[in-house]
Amino acid sequence: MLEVQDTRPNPEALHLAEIDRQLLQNAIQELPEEFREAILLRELEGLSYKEIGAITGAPIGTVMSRLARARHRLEKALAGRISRGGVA
Amino acid sequence: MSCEEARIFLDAYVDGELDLVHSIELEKHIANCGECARLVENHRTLRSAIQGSSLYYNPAAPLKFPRPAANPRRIYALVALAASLLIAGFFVGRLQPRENHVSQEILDSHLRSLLPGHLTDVQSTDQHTVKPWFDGRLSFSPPVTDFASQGFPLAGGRVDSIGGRQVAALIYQRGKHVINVYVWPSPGSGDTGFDKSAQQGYKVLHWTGAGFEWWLITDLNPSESRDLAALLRAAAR
Repeated sequence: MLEVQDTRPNPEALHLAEIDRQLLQNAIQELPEEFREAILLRELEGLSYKEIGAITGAPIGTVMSRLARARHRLEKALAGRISRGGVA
Repeated sequence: MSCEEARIFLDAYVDGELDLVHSIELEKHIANCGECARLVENHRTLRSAIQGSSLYYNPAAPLKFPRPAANPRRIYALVALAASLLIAGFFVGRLQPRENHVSQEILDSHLRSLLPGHLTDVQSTDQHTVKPWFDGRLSFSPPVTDFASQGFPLAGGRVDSIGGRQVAALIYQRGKHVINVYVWPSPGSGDTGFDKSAQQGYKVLHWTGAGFEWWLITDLNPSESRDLAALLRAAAR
């Protein structure tokens, strides 16, 4: 059977793309400090895990876990409908 | 690669921090798994949303630092920010015990430790090397014993973070199986029996003893993981 991949953006992603700034700021503001620190250093400063670890004094595993949790919370807060199993 | 594994690696993949071998495996998985592909897409969309949101000039209340453009002083602001967040985070972490998430965090940490280069901070089969290595890195001295003669050689140690606290991770090996043992002080708690559970195919054993809290996680069979737990408990006494 011929498999055709659906390359259209999915509804949740579109929803995220249209989030207004205030909503995003609020969601970021509500993050625990260490999560906010990790996600901002990563996404705004573009720092590597190693650099974030050096600045925050956290092991790289902790940086990874904070980023994963920060994204999970933000996506949940922003899209509402996004569900993510596995990693809490 | 299973969905569970893929989800552990997703963030590192999106951040360009995943090694080539795992990246290829993950890409193969994503090509066939709509749900994981959707998560990757969401991460990327979130990134563009954050980057395009002019947050730089409208920081949240605790982040109100002047942001001079391309100024070397910016790094001092960052360091000050990091320090204040760390201190605040420390107290918040103290106030909010997340015991019910510990088991999930143990699993996350175990899976991350299996990424190349993440297993050990100090690689040694010598307990007299591993134990002193923790001095100065942790506020406590974890019991460290090599069980090579019983078939569980010590592979090294690592500092990790569970439930917002710094903990010692001891790594043992049995054949090709990796066992992560997490230890942190639990003053005043008595000795408990082994509390067994399973997390996505991994066996988790939890107990308190010798004034410490212990978590053991591995893909070994239950009787072997229990053997190591019994050795650890006896040696710590």
